[in-house]
Amino acid sequence: MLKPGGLGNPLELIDKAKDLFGGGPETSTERPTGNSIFDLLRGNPETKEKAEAIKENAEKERANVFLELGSSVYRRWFPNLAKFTDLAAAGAERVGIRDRGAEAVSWQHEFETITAFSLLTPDFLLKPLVDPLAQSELFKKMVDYWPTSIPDDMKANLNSANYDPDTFFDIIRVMNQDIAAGKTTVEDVLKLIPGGSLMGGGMLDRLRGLLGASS
Amino acid sequence: MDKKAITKEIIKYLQLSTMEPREKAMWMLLLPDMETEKLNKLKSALKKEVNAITDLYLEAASAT
Repeated sequence: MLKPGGLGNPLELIDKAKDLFGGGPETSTERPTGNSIFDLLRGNPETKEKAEAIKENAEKERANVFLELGSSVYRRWFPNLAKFTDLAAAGAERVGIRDRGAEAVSWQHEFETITAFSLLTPDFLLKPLVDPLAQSELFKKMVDYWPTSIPDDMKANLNSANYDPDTFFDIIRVMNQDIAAGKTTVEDVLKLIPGGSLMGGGMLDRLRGLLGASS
Repeated sequence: MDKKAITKEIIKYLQLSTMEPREKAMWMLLLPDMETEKLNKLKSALKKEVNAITDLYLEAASAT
């Protein structure tokens, strides 16, 4: 065990630390995490594997807590998004299923908040939330059909095996800005889709059916 | 243990966790709106991680 005061002068203490941890984080090529004990343990070949296993396991446990938050925090922060998706609401407005009312401003605020919040969320937490939509055929078709061009590097990243979930929010941000600035409308998007095939055919009918409206 | 006491413990464990700074900031933002049950789960996960890292450190130190 460590013996307080038993290490002699400071130089001996430094030598002892080097023996313990193989020189510490300076010998490691990995970026320091800010947790000095973890960085020391990761810098030592004998403890590196165990330290990384602890970190990985902790990330899995926090990911479970994070996913469970959907029923509490998200419903309070994003009450409108909890009911509908922004695009579904905009689409419904365009085809005359329901009017866009005073809640449009609060929708916009929620949208800005959720995209800002995504900047703070690490990829390992963000990916399970984003995957179902970002990797869906529907979203990828929307990106392809979008009237103003989505930057090629964003498209390439979205279609790569190890895509960055932040790219999904970047693309949504571009779409949101296009609509907010009047560069495009959901109507324009619908016009560009051959035969309304965005959702595999009959998109407008499906939207009407989904929302219980008559044609 | 009430919500405030659990939150205080979580904040202490957050500083000792291996998570990156932006994730710490994210949890700090979420804490006020989290239910007690979720706070307890987060505290348990953080405590387990911090204890495991500390144990590994002491194990490595005693081996020399």
